[in-house]
Amino acid sequence: MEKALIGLGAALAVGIPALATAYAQAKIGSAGAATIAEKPETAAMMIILEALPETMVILGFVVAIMLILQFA
Amino acid sequence: MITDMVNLKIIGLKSDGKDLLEHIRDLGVLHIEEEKEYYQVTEEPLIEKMRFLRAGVLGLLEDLGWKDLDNPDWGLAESLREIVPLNDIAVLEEIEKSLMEFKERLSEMTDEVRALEESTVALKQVHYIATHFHSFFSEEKKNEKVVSLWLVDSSKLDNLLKGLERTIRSLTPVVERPYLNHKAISQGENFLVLALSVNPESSSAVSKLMEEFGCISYLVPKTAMDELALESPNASQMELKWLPKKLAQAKTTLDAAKREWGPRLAALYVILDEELELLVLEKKFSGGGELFTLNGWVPLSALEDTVSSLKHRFGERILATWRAPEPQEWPKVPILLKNSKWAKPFELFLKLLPMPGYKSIDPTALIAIFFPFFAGCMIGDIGYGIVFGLIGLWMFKKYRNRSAIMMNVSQILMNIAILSILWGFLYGEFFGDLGHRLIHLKPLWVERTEGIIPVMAFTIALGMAHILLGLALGAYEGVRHNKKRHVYERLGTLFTLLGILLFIVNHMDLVNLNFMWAALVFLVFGLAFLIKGRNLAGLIETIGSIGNILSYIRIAAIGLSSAILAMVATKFVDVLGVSFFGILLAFSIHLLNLIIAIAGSVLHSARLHYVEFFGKFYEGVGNKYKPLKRRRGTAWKKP
Repeated sequence: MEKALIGLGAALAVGIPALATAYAQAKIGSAGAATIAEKPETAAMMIILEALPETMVILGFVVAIMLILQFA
Repeated sequence: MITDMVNLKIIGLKSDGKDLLEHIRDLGVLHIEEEKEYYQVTEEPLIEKMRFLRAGVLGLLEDLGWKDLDNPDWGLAESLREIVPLNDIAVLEEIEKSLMEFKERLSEMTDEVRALEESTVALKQVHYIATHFHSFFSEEKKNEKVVSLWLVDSSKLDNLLKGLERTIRSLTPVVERPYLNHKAISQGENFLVLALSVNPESSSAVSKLMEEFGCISYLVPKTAMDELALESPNASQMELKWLPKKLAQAKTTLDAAKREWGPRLAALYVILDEELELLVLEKKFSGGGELFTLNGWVPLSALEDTVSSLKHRFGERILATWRAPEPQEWPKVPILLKNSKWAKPFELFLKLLPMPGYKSIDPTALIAIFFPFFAGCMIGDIGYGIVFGLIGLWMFKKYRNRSAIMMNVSQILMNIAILSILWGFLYGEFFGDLGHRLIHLKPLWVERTEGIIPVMAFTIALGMAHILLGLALGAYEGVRHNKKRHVYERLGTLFTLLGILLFIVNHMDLVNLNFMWAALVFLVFGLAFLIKGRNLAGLIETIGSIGNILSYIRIAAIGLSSAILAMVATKFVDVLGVSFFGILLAFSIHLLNLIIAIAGSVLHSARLHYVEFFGKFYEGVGNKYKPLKRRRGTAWKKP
């Protein structure tokens, strides 16, 4: 039971930020595509903005790994 | 690195203005500086006409659908340039007249193709209806019934037929027998074409009822075949045989026109564009008086050749002076990147950003080192590396001397492939664990799926090194451009991070030395610099940098997911055996993983550079070096 809860905790640590990142990237992506269509020179800036929310998942991944390695 | 530039000022006689500009264009090295006051150009009829004609030619190329814009008819362009005086408005009017005639002919051809395409679609529709209803029509007409076609919602058919039966029964005299015959065929997913046959006297009442039910009278597309087709489907079939042939013939004629006229029109566009540019420049720089003054930038390496060529061509009729740019002029000096052969393909990454400022750092060489290293670390598979290497080699051969961008991409891909193979040996991966299963391949360092912590620790260390390098470069840029606040801020963050690093090393007993005092010294200096630079905001910058370093864990995370997916692919062969289905599934998952691996590694490596690394020192404040030159090189028309 304890292991199952640790597993669930690790899954939530990655899953919830992944959903948040997906939501943010969807919004940024659609706005970014429209911006690049208008101003192609903003492509790099849009890639940067698109990539920014990923940090949430990376940190979630670290938390998940720590949970598993420390407690499982 | 960023090429050193020299400001070159040329003063000549107004009468030599056009020749001078042509000569400079042929040399193709002078980036002309256009001062604000020069922007007001008198709108001359010749310039207006040339602009109009250029737009017209471009429009014709669009209408033709000719896309091979890199391959105009250069031979024709050369002859046109020699024999056609484009600065004569009468000549331009003559060209315009010819183009209008060509446009009319082109419209006729495209209209014919469009009409034939529409007829083919319509005839297919007629044939479809005719084949299904021909016998019904013939039989009912023989019995002197009225036949009509309706488009009906499929779900309403049963209710509709019941309603029709009731209506016809009420309209038919008692002594006569009510008559309703029908046939339906599907039209799309939700509709039917319904043929109704009734007695002539009930025809109008039936039409009214059908309309009340929301049915639409079905009109067979208006082609010459309408009636004939319904009478005899064979006739429409015959039509369908020759119509595609006629369409193919019309398309062939249009394609031939496209192949013949596309390169010619493109050549005309090129010379019009060149002449227009020259004409506008001539008007801009002639101003008042008898002198013609041109001010611009040339690379230092090309200065000697440029000046001697100008002197050789114009002798004492021009005066050329040059000087190095003053520091206050640096923001407007155009930027030309010059890198070694191995780093040059990576200039592609800077094309997505504004150019770096003059006398600042060109990060291309650093990208060439770190980008493949990061991407290789994420992919980390010998088999995948070999596949990417082969794709890169194929692209290199295919696009050699054809597309500069694709050549650069292929070289970047080959660099990533080499590093992927090297990392593959360190992780002991060949298509996941296939290498281990087949030839007992052992990792030289660590197996990623088993020892994620060492890989994560390594990526954090890598991030630390990358960010510290960025901060050091940022401090150097601050010193070079005399921006004290930048220097304090970057050095403050750098020292603070070093202090934290030494503190961790000391705390974890990673080496047999006591770094506590050194850590404290770095932290004190770091905080002092930060407060001097930006007060408390400097501390936020440091916290941001720690976040940047943690962001490098993505290298381990993406690598781990790629390694696990590769292992899953091989597991399918375990589960399903060495069967066709098992191998197919394993192959499909490896293919998917290959695509994810290259897309993910490239995107995330780029992000680590753009966001984490460049944020510490890069300022995109430069203008791109755009010399006045012919659209195709200069070698073919040098004096």
